[in-house]
Amino acid sequence: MSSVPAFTDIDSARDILMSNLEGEALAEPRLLRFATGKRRSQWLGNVVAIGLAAGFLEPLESTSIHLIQLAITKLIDLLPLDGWDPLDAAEFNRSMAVEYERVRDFLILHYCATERTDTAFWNHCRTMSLPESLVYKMAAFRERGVVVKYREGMFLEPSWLAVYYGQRVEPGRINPLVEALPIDEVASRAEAMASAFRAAAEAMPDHADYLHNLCGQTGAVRA
Amino acid sequence: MSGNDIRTVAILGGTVAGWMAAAALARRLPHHRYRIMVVQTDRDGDGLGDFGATLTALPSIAPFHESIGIDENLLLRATRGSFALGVAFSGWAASETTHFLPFGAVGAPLGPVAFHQLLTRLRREGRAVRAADYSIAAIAAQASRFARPSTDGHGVLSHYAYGLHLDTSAYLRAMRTTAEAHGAHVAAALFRRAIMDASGGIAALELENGDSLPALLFVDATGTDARLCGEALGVGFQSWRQWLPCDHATARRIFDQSDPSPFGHVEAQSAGWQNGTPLVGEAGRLLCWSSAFGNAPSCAGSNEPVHGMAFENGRRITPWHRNCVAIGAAACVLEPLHPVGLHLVQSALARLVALFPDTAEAPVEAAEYNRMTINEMESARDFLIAQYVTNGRVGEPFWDAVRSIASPDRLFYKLALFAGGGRMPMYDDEVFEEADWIALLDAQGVRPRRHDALAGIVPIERIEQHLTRLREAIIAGVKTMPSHAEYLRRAHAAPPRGAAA
Repeated sequence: MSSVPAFTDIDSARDILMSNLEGEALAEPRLLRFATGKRRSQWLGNVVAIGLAAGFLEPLESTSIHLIQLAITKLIDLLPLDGWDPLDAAEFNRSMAVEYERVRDFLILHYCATERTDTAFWNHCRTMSLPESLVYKMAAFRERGVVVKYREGMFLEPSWLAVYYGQRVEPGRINPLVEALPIDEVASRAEAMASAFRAAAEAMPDHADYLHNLCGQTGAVRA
Repeated sequence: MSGNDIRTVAILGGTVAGWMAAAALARRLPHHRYRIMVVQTDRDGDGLGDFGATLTALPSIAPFHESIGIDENLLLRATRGSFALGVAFSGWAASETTHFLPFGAVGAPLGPVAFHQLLTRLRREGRAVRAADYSIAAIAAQASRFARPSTDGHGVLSHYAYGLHLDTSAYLRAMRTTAEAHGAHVAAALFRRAIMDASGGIAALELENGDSLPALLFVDATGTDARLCGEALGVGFQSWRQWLPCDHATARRIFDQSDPSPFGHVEAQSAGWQNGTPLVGEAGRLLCWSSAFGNAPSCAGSNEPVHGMAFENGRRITPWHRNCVAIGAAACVLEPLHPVGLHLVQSALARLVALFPDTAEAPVEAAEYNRMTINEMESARDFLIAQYVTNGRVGEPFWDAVRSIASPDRLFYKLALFAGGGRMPMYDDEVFEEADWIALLDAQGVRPRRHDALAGIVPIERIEQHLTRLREAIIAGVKTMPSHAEYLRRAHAAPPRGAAA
């Protein structure tokens, strides 16, 4: 990938972090440098990379633990019994690469689908070139409201919808069969759904109370 | 969509595929906005390649029938149909072998260890085990017993599924009746030709009485004639002959008063295969062979010369092209070694409804439709190729030749991974599930070189105990089922279960 200009520097980043703290800082900020990406081969010879050794995707959507779990599951599934079979590694690498790329596309969506024009950083994100796989997915949603589905991939339709709508990517048109439904009926069904969810949420205890009841007395976190 | 104009969907072909499309679309599209019009040609048939006068439906047909309000008992009576618990194959793994591919689960995992990994472990210990002995569908089929599966989700009686054997022309009538009951119309005259628009799409269908029928969307259900997508639009056809060399078929029906078996039977022949589809009072016989490997073989003991119909396996390059969607054999021709024809149609229709266009040109919808549809067709193709390339008939020219065919890349990869450690990589939109692939390869005699590490640490006695329990539960389950003939008599006599067809 071509080089990306630096949009800020360490001191400004530190200032932003410190000035946005809601309480007292407990320690000095620790500087992390990272390059997002993944190993070309996650399993090579008799070495399997898991977690950050395999790839780094910034924790915008908390995907690291999921990718670790996936790698462990696949490794157990493909664990060599006696001797090495390069096919085991090939299958592990193939299926993990698919997972990483699907997460990557999902993360990129948060950046590229911005309307912000206020900084060089957001201007870059808004206009950078995208992987073809993401271009295809976004075109299907932008033009027709279709969330492209695959057999593999961590994020399912509700997650994609949440980010599309959250980033104000609206479908240009919808399924005409939906358009043919009486609008009043659609509205009243949506309202019924929303009020059922509101009622369910209101019936729940306060989050802090729930946590306290769950682990407050023993002080231990339950699995 | 502007105003309150009624838009037309024109389906060309009064075939099984055409009437399925009419029934599904008339059921799903609101009548105040859409009109479904079926235009017949001078040929009807099944629109699925016309391989014989009977059809087998995979278990996935049940939700389709339910969605268009077809009562299964009434349908069975109308089509002299029977139930299908799977398919028996003989002569594939080697000339004297028989195996059964059940609809539904084979065995059960032991904790985290997959069943077929346990089998590999046992075989490495020198035990001879047959996967189908641990399938309730296979054991019930062998005993000619049948009952619909339990829907409670646990116990062996919920671990199988069933398909249907149907008489094609009776099924076509049932589908037409259903489509018309949902408001589909049939054009007053037969199709004459397609009228093109300036941009190269289809503007209208011209009928024999001179009328012309413009439409928003055209569905080509004319089978291998492909009158719209092939003839009018010139969309290319990609041949699969290099992988699937059978190119001729002939069918006949035979009078058969014996009780129908709850499974079809596919027997390998010298240069192809022959199948039997049991109906009530008769059976369908189909012979498929490769003309490159000698003359037509004789069919079911008859000495008459056989000419047969020529066909070519393959698919339309773009099943949805411009404003025309091809379904059935207009989109994909596959010899019915595995009965995927009806499944591909109903799956295409579900996809078409989800991506239904509201303009004549809908490239985004078409691209997504084609992506999934082609994945699906190619996965079905690969399942068939897998059965040919893993055959064990050594010393016969046809079978030696197909065994040495170079598989398409994805299939090659599947076969290599399975042969290594019994793994089965799966791709998007596959017709057959992982369990089906494993059952197929196991039945064909493909033995993974090793089992996975987890299977290696289970004590062998625990595995044997697990298999014994499974077997006992299956046999106890099968004993609760009536004979297939008895169940079928009750189903044929039963009052409608839901909305009448």
